[in-house]
This record gives sequence, structure tokens and C-alpha cells, in this order.
Amino acid sequence: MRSLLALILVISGFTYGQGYQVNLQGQVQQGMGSAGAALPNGASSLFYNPGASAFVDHNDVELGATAVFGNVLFTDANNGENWRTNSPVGTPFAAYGLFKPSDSSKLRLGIAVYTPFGSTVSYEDGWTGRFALTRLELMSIFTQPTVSFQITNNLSLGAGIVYSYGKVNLQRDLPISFANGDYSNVELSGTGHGFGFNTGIYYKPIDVLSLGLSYRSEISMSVDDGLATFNVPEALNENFPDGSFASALPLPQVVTFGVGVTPNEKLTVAFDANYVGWSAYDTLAFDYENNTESLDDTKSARSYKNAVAARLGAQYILNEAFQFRLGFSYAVTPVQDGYVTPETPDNNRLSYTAGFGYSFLDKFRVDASLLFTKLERTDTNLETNLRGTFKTIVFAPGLSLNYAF
Amino acid sequence: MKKYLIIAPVALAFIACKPQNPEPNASMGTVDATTFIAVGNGYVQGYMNDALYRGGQESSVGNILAKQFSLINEVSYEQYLTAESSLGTNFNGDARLTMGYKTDCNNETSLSPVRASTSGDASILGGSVYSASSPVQNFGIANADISFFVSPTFGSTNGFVERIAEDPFNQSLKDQMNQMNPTSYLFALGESQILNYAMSGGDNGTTILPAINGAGGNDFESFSQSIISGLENSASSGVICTVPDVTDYPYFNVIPWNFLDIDSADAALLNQLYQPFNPEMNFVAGPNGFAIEDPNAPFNVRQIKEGEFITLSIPLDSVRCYGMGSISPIPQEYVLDSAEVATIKNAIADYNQTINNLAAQFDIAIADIHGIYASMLNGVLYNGVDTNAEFVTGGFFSLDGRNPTPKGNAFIANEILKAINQKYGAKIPYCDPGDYISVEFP
Repeated sequence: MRSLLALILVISGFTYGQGYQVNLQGQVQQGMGSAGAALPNGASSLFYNPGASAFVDHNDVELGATAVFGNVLFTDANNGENWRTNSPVGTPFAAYGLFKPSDSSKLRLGIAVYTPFGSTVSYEDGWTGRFALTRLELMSIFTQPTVSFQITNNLSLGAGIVYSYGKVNLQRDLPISFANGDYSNVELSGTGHGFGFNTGIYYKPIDVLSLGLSYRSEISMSVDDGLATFNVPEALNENFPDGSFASALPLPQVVTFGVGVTPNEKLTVAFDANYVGWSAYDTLAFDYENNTESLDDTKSARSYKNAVAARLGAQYILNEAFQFRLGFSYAVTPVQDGYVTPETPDNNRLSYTAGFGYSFLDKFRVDASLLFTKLERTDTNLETNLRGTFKTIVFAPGLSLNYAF
Repeated sequence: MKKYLIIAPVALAFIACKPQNPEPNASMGTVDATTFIAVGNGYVQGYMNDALYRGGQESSVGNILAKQFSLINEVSYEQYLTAESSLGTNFNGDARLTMGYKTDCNNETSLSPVRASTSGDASILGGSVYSASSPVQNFGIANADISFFVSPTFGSTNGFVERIAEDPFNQSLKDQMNQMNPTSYLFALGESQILNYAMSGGDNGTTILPAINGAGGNDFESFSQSIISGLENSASSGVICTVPDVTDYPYFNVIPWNFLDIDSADAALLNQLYQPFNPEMNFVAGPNGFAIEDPNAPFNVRQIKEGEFITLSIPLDSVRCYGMGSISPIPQEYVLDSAEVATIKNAIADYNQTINNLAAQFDIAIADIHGIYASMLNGVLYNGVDTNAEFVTGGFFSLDGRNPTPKGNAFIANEILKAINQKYGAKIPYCDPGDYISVEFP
């Protein structure tokens, strides 16, 4: 009988941003369409372009967080039934410290802690795609000590080493019924880590123009000792033993070219173009320590393709106290037709952002931003045959406090 | 305070920013399901796991269809549910099959279909439960001959007929349906005519009712015309179902023809035993065709060939421990030989031709249930779940190896809805097979 129970477990991948990237690392930049590779925008430049950090002319500390409200509606193409997510609010955060060793130093030392990938998506009980996914929680924290140096008075370089630590928890139902009619389920959880780097060049040929080029390396987040927990009928416990699994998720490399224009003291315009190496996410594999006739290792094609994004933003300084920002961005989806999953119901997306800053007590500034994006994707997944339309609305207000001294 | 001022309007905007449900797009077309009648065999009745019981009835094809109709216009559907706690019963009074532990003659215990109890719920076969105030709309009866529906006398011979009949001994089920003035109907008879023959190994005096031109009008076409023309008096829509290839059912495939796996010593022994009688018999080390009875073979014995089938009713312990299929041939009643298989295949083709003719004659929808069963051989992937014809694990067939599970019935109901939608310009929503379970495990 056991040999008859060859149920193949196929487990899937991840959420928001472009693919599963979250571009929410600084409130000033977020207000400007998340552009900023060519702007020495305080300590948060440690993320956007460590090369530009050398032109921040003071010590700078910034703490910020964003609340991501993401709502997905799935309409099943088979029968028109509608299902929603009930995901908790995501809270990506960023903390930066940038220090100038002496008044005349051309060197800057920085430390950045931020969360560029990850969120939680969970679907309502009983939704039709529950055998593909019921809940995915992905969290990653990057820590980046950085050095930035002014080579000349209009050129600087910077580089940081990135250590990433992540947690993943993925749950889905299995099409095996208990005696009471409930479905079985599996939970895969684990922690992973990886190393990479973030580096950049900043060049300001003339007063009104600045250029930036940054490169963030790919980081492969490997989960070496995850725990697979199967909630199955007792009679099948041997077929689905709880135990260890290994997997890996690539966090792709990103090349960014940025242009900053400052026509006058009050106005700054920033443009960034990103090229993201999503093709690294070709396959999602799970290697179970205890294979049985029912539990094979799995390899699911994701077949992401490299993708570009363009970002445009502007800041207007009203007076000593207030700054206002606007921006938008357009990101091409890395997810090809046939590979749309409930974790990443992605599509090309146009995002609108706005923000403002308020300076007070000479050294403090509060920045707030707001991002809105809306997208829709209709697909039939090649692996699961999940057929329908995902409509997503993301709404992300954020706040940060900056201290310059 | 500042923070609060920012967050409050943001939260309000957020509430307004959930994706909106698309406009519903469902309609009954020209179908009036006010009084919907379903006539058929096992899957219409919700008979599964070799029993009639509550869980099966609730996911009968008749009931799933009524549920889908109700998404547009609330309709009532009466099928005389058995008690919630009932163990169910088959025709012989046995309880439903369930997955459990069985110890075989070699004292090996394994997970296997077993009866939920030593005996079933006798009350189910305890006579008519007909109620004039809520007349039954589900005329599905597993393994029932079509003649049971047209003759007034069959309530006396079949407890399932008697159970739903208003007057089991004087009125036919056909007349009982007609007096309800049905507005639409499902006609899914025919399968049992062929299945009953196949389940008996083509023996014990069973024959298949001819599709057409039977002596004295005793044929599938005439009986069907008699039933359908009655329904057509009041109904404005109807759907008829084709007959699946029963030889694909697990009932005939769980025990493969060459499942006799022996070593060379046993092979030599069997050759010594049989070859003096039938020199064509040849056993080798490894898998072999079982020894079977065949009146046309030398000394009534030969080996089974590929394309011939062994029924699930075979006593497995006799095979495992007492030499059935090896030192003694398998009796004919557990075997479909090639001639019987041909009879079955021809009958399926003839019945389906007749069913096509009936659909044309009465200008009603025709559902390709033959096709749905066939698609299960390779499996159907639906929203992350593969459903196929494998016994126990496939999800389509229940533990009796011939009647579908609730999930199987969901696929059948959707195929019927597809035919109705096409024929009658309707947009009745399909059900989600994921909402219906298959085999339950302890």
C-alpha cells in the first residue's frame, strides 16, 4: 500500500516588490520613487550607493520603518470564485549610521541594517490554491559595514560587506484527507544566511549634475537545516516523516545607474535605472533528509528572467523646515507567463510615491513617505495548473527620524 | 501626534484600496431547475466506498448539481439522507469501506480498505421512506438495472429502489418522477448494465442488455426512450451522460494480470503441474500471468494474458496463501477473459452510440462522462492537485474501486454543467473539486 502513496511534494517560492524584492530602504528616497543612487542623501545612501556616502558632510544617523499593506484578490478562472489574502502588515525597516572620523577626513565609516527582501503573504482559509500555498513568511536582515572615500573633490568610491540572515516559513495543504475530512498540511521552516557586498561610485562633474553607479552582489540564502513538519493522518506518518531539509533562495544582484540634477538650491530631480539579475532564480529545490516512497526531493522551475526598473523622483525644499517629494517607478516583472505563483503574483508595476520632510531643533528631521501600486496578472501556472487572475494593491506608508551632527 | 495625523488618513485610504471582486457573471440560461430530477446509477446516488451513507449522498452528483444551481436561484433538492452517524450499507447489508488495518493470512498487517463495522446500517434497507410533502428528487441507484425504473415490481427485489419509492409494488419509479412534473433532469443510466456483467466476471448467467433491437423492446434504447419521453412531458431542459469504460476502473486493475511473482523453483513446479495438460502454459522466474479457468482451453486451464482482467472481488488470502492463481486456477467469476472484454468494449461503444442518438432525438445536452473517466488515466491537474484513477491514492475512485469519491463526483458534475451551459446558453458556475475530499485516512 505504501508504494501506492507516491504523492509528490512540490513547494514553491516568494512576495512583493519586483519579484520578492522590497525597495523600501529610506524614507527620503521612497518619497522620490526610490531613486537615489546619485544623491548623497544622508546615511541611507549606504544602501542606495555607498560611493555617494563620502559626500555626506556630517555624522548622520537614521532610523525608519515602513508599514506595507498588501492585498491580493485571486479570481479562479475555472469558476469565478474569489479568494483574498489576509496577510499581516509588513514592516521593513532600515537603520543607518554614517560617521566622519575627523572634520577634514575624506573617509566615511558606516553601518547599515536593512531588510531588502521578504514579507508575509497568507491566504484565507479554504482558498482554492491552498495546495500550492497557504502562507509564506520570508524575512531577511542585511547588515552592511561600509567604507566610503572621496578620491577627489568630485569623485568618491564606497564598498560594504553584506551579511544576511533570513528566516523562512512556508505552509501549504496536502490533498490527503484525515478521517474527519480535514486536509493534511506541511510546514517548512528554517533559517539561512549568506554573504555579499554593496559597492558604488559617485561623480559630480558640475554643480547641477551628479552621477552614481552601484552594484549589489547576489546573495544565495541557503537553508541547510530547515525543519519539515508534516501534519498527516497517523497511518501515513511513516510516509511523511518530520525531518530536516535543505534549500536555497537567491537574492539577486542589482546594478543601478543614477542621475541627479539640482537646477537650483530648492529643487533636486533624481533618476535611477536598475538592472536586476533575477535569472538567478531559476529553480526552487527542496532536498529532504528523509526521502520515502511518498516524499521525494523536489525541483520546481521558477525561470525568472533578468529585469529592469526605472525610477524618477523630485524633492522641493520649501523652506528651512519643510521638504516635499514626489516620484514614480516602473518595474518590469521577472516572472514569465506560466510561472506566476500565489507567493509572487507579480507583473509589471507602476508605483506612485510621495513624501515630505520636516526639520526641527537644528539637527533633527522627520521624513514620511507613501507608496501606492496596483497590479493585475492572469496566468495558468505550468506546475500546478492554478488558473486565474491575481489583483494586488500595495499601500506603504513609512516614517523615519534623522539626526545629523 | 504628528505620527497619528499621518497614519489615520492613510489607514482610511487603505480600507478603500482593496481589490474589488469582479462583477458576477452567472446565469441559468434557459434552464429551469425548480424541480430538478437526477436519474442514474452510483455517482448520481452518491453511492461510494461500496455503501449508501450520508457523506456520499451529500456529495452525490445530483446534490452537487443542485448546489451549483442554488448559487443562482435557490432550489431545493431532496435525496432522503441517511442518518449522520450511519455506517451505511450495501445491497448485502455490509458497512461502508474505510481505510484501516487488515492482517492477512501471512500475519502481515497493512493499511487497506476494510469494512467500517462487521455489519452495515440495516435500517437503510428497511422499506420506503417516501414523503409526499417532500418527494425524492434523486433517483440514483447503484448497480440498478434500467428495467427497475420502468417496471412497478422492482421495489420488492431491490431495497434501494424500495427505499425511495412511493408505492414500491404498484408504481414504477418512472411514473413517480413524472407525477412531480420535473422542469429539468439528468439521465445517467447505462453504466450498471455493463458494470454488473463485468463485476461478475461475465459469468453467473449475467448478460448485457442489448443497446438496441432487443426482443420485445427489451433494450437500453427503448427503456431510455420510455423514461426520457416521460420526463420531457414537463421538462424544458435535460442532459444525458455517456458511459465510461468500466475496464479502466481499479476494480479490474488493482490486481495486475501478471502479479504472480515466483522464483525459478516454483516456476519449475508449476510447469511440471500444468504442462502435461496444457503445453502452452509456461512459468518463469519473475512475474507471470496467473493460472485461470477457461472452458475453451485444454483441460479448462490456461494462463491469463495481457488485456484480460482479474476482479477486486477475488479472495486475496486464497491467492496469497492457498495457491489460487498458481497451483489452482482462478475461477471464471473473478476473471474477464478477452472475449468478455470484447463484449464489454462493444457494449460500451453501442450504448454510447445510442446515448448520442437519444440526445439528438430529444434535443438535449450530452455530457462526455466517458471522456472524464478516460482523462483520469493520465490524471487531471486542478489548482495544484493531481487527481487520477489510481486506487486509494488517485483521488477519483472510492475504496470500492468502481464508484467515484466526492472529488470524483465533483469532476463529473462539472462535465455535466459544461454540457448544460453549452446547450442552454447558461453560465452556471463550476464547483471546486478541491472542496470535495477523496479517500480518508486514519
